[in-house]
Amino acid sequence: MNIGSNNPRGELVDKLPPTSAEEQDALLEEHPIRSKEFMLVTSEILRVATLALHAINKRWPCCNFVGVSRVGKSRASSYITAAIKSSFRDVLVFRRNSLSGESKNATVFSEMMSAMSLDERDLKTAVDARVRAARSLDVRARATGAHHVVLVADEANNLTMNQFRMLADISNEMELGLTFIGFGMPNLLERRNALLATDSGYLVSRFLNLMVEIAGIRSETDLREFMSLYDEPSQLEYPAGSRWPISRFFFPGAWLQGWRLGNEAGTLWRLFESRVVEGKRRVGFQISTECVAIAIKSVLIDNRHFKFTTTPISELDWQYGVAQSQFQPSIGWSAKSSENLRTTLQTLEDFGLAPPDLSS
Amino acid sequence: MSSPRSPRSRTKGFKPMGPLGEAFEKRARSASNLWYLTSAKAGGDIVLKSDAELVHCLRLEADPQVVSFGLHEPQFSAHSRDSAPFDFAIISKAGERRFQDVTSEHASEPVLLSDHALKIYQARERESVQQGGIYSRVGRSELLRFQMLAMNFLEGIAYRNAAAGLPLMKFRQELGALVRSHGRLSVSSLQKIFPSAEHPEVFAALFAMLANGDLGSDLDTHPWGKRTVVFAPAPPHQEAFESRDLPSLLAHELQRRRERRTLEDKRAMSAALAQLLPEGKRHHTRSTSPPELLDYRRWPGWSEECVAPQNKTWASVRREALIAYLNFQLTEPIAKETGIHRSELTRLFQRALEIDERDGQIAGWRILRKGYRPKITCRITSRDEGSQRNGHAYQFLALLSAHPEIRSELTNAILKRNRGFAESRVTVSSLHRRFLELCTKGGVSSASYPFNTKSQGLPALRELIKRIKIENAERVAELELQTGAVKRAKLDTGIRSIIDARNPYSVVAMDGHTLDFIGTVRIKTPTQSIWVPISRIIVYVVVDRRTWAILGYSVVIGGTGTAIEAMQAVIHALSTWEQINYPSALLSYAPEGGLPSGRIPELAGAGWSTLWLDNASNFTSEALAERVRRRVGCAVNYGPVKNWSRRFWVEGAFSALERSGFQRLPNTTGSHPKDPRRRDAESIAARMKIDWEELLYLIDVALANLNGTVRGNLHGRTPLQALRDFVDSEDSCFIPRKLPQLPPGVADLGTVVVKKTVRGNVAQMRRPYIEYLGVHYTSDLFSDCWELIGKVVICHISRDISSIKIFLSDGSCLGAIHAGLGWGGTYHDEHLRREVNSLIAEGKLTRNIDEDWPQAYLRAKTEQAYNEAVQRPKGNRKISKSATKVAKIAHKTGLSIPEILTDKVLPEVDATSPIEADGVRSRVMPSFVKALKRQAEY
Repeated sequence: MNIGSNNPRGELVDKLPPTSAEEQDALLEEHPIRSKEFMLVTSEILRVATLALHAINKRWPCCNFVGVSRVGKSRASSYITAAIKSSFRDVLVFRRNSLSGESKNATVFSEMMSAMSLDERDLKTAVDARVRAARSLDVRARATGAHHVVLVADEANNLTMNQFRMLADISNEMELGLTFIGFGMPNLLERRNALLATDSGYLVSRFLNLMVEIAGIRSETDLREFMSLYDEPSQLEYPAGSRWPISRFFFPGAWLQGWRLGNEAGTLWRLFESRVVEGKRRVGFQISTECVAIAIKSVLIDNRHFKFTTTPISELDWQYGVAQSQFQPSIGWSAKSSENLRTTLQTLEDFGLAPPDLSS
Repeated sequence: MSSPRSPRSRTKGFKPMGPLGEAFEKRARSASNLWYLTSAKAGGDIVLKSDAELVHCLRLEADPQVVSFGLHEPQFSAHSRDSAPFDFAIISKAGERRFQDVTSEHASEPVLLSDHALKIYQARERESVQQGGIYSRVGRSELLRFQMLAMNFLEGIAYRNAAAGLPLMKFRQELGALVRSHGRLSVSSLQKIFPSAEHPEVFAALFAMLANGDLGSDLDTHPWGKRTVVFAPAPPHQEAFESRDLPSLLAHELQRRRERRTLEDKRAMSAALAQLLPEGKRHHTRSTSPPELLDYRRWPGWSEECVAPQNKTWASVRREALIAYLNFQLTEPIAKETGIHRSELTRLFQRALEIDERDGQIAGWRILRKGYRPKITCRITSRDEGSQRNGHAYQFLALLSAHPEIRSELTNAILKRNRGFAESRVTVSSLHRRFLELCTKGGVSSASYPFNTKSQGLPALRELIKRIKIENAERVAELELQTGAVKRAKLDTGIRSIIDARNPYSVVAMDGHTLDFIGTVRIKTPTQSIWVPISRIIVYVVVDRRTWAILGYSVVIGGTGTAIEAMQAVIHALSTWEQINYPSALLSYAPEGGLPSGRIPELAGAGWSTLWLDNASNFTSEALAERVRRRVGCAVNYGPVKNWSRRFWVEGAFSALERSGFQRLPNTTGSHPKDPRRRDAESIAARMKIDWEELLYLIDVALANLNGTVRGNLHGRTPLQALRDFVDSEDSCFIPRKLPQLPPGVADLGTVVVKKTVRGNVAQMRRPYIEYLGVHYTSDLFSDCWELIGKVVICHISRDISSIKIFLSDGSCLGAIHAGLGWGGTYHDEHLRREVNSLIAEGKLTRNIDEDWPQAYLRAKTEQAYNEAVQRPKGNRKISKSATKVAKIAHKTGLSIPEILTDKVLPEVDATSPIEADGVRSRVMPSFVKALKRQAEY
């Protein structure tokens, strides 16, 4: 194995691309696809990020993204956090840390508070504690040169009404503005309805006024777009600096013959579609990106071939991959069909924003 | 005590309410059937009393000229002798009002009515004129003319009703624009633009536009389906243009038809030739006879096979001559060509117009059969005293001709039509005595027939009785035969139903059946398992008429089944079937078997146009009469009381199921109580250890395999093959009707909507909750909604009442709230909750700390079943109600039957000696234990 050589661009790389099946197997052990330490920036994530950045730029009070499970909400929230940090120098961003097991009783709210270095127990008991918390946030923001604070909250549907009230008190006391970027399951809508029903409309206008759907893969086109990301070295190249995208690593021979993973989208879409067995309408049916990723991972790893030059993946292989993904079709929830919302969920076009350009 | 009008009756379960309830009351036990459907032009739910009314209703629904119609509107005049309301009151686009009565008889024209019926017709016509309308009767022949259109619109109203509440305006606009731009479009082209599976509202919009005249179609002549053509209707001015261009005679005829007809006009036309002929002989020629009689193509009775070979030439020559005569050819050339002279021609013509006494029609071409006589010859011979004549031919007939009251009395006696109490059994000898009495009473002398014969007319009377019974077979069957024979008499009448099941999923029926086998419940103890027989299982199936395919089913263990359990069969038919994985040696799935929703993806979730039910109380409940009807969009039919033959295909399916499936099992109960196959079925079931879960699997297999069995009436195909052909074949028009997605906040099948007030108390810090069937429901979100206390919320309650979905009055969803402690962890339904509640109230049920109430109930019933079984003498296996209840609870909740720990089984444990685990040193007791011991000692 060559280590420390130069790649064709003359850049020093840690490892070179594999030149044999044995090298391929050896490099596979550390491939990011195994450890999931990579993120494909899908068009949905870009769309969501565009809107979130726009909301922060305009200093909107809130922007929430609602979607069914495993569509990539957490990935989107971490991407947005990174994007905010790189895009805005005058914004202090806090993101709720995932459950790290430090405290067995950790809730979404307590994690949010700890991310902001605030103590939830204080806030519950004393009103002046909230005032002090607000002051503390202001001081920290100014220390970093920030003029605005952003709170990115994953699983926002788990926040109770009292917790929303506490957040509202804190934001009211702050001198700087606070934008709340929430990610949650569809029952976040029920939480909003409950707030409206209990004359807590001010909390809705403060934290839950704007809600946008974050969806999974809804069509063959979406799926092709997602799978094409595996063919893009800009998304992930392994080994680093080799300009080898994910699909080329697993099927280098086929790659050279023109095969691309994106071309397999039709077969995979048909297989997922055939699993929709409830007899319900297909409108609103979506596949979670995580399911697709698991299916692709399974197929790539199990069927990798160094020299294979014709179609490397058969329909049977994809069937196995779909079975591995444990796909259960998410059908029900589509915000556009819900006519009972006080404010219907909106799209980028409603704000005059163009869809993101994937090539950039 | 429930009032008679309340939904629940103590004896019969739920009663129908609203228009359906009133219709049931009026119908009582009469032979009519009821149709219950929603009609847009009628303004809502309507109930129709017959198939004929349904067809006419659908025709009105399809007629663009009809704006609205009402049913059974009462007459307004108090002076009318006929007080029955009009069947239909119609308002047309031109503002014209019409009143119509529907009859299933062929004769609806006034000229064809009897005098009495004609008087009623005239009275009703006067009434309608007084109300400013036009009266008409709609008979079977007219209904048959519109049968195609009606059946197509049966599908249409199903589309519209299923899409009720959904916005169709967008689809109407798009459809209108498409059709206008293309001129004509087929439905298959529309399907490419709007795939019907994804946009079932498109067809709802299409039928709405057809009904309003916004679009035209060929649905009056062709069945609905892929090849249906829709087009933009012609502008109104084009009609006048067309009539101007027509020859004046035709234009005049069209104009005349458009005008209002009087009775005299109607008398001029006739559908039945025989009615025009006055009685008695008259000399008819081709010049003097009405044109309808000269239409020899409508004469009855010509068939070459009926003519003997030696007479064929003779008959064909006369036929040829008669046809030429009726075509107004000169008689001389006819005579030259055929040899039949003018006098013979007129004689033949006279004979052809004679009335045949047997069927009341003109003789027609039957005169060309040698030996044909239109009248029943009746030789009247008198037998005087001293006469040397021996024969009594036709004496009996002559007697009946002279004394018609004798025949009518005898007929009434045989058919038990006389008022008062009739003899339980009428014998020939008693009828003979009665006959002689009637003869004496009628003035027949003792020297005349029958008194002057040895047998006194007994043999002839026997023949008469036989003939009367044959002529009144159905009535005789009611009097003398078993119920099965009576019902069987209604089949194969040759009368084709006016409801045409042309396509699959147009006529579908549901019924329940008790399966002919015994199952068991396995009750485990630590040392053994015992198998306790349970009651027979009831299965509700949904069967398609056209293909006899079983679409779905549900199973009921114990009892007759509730409406909700019956509705599960509908829900099953609308979902997607999958095989059950259960290894069993008794039966296995056939490769070609299965239910359509699982084998043919296009049929998964497909709805039907009509659902035929019997009058069982669970079928007349709100669940089926309202919820199924609204969700599927179908019309519901309740057949005549105690008439299974109307849904013969369901009964046929049950029969096939038993014969080919369950009656072959060793644990069968046979087909009747004396069936030798049912010998000790309970013991066999216990020995075979057929668990109830295996029975559910066997039921699924049997039903699936039935769909894969070849049927003769399907031209050698299986039901699934027939369905597949309908779906795939290019020659087939069939389009599976997918149900549209429900609007948000609208409850699906199986979900009940109730309004509840939110309870709680701010002052006492009682958090908001809802109480349902004695249990409190709340959630983390709901418990914070203090402002909702005292307000009404809408609850969607599904079959599993461990959680309820709640909505605010504006439709906003607040998510699910869950039942309180002891109820929230286990799937259970309302029925089970009520049973447990009553036991708790009586103090007969307790629960352990680690179990829910349903689990406690199951445990208690299992213990009861076990105790009853072990107390029974060995070998004496009987069906156990407790064991049946155990199976029922396990089936409903999904819980597994707990193991019973009996006292005899538990080993004796010495609590005083220390217990040491193998290989482990004795643990040191915590200090507080020693303290507790010291306390105890004190």
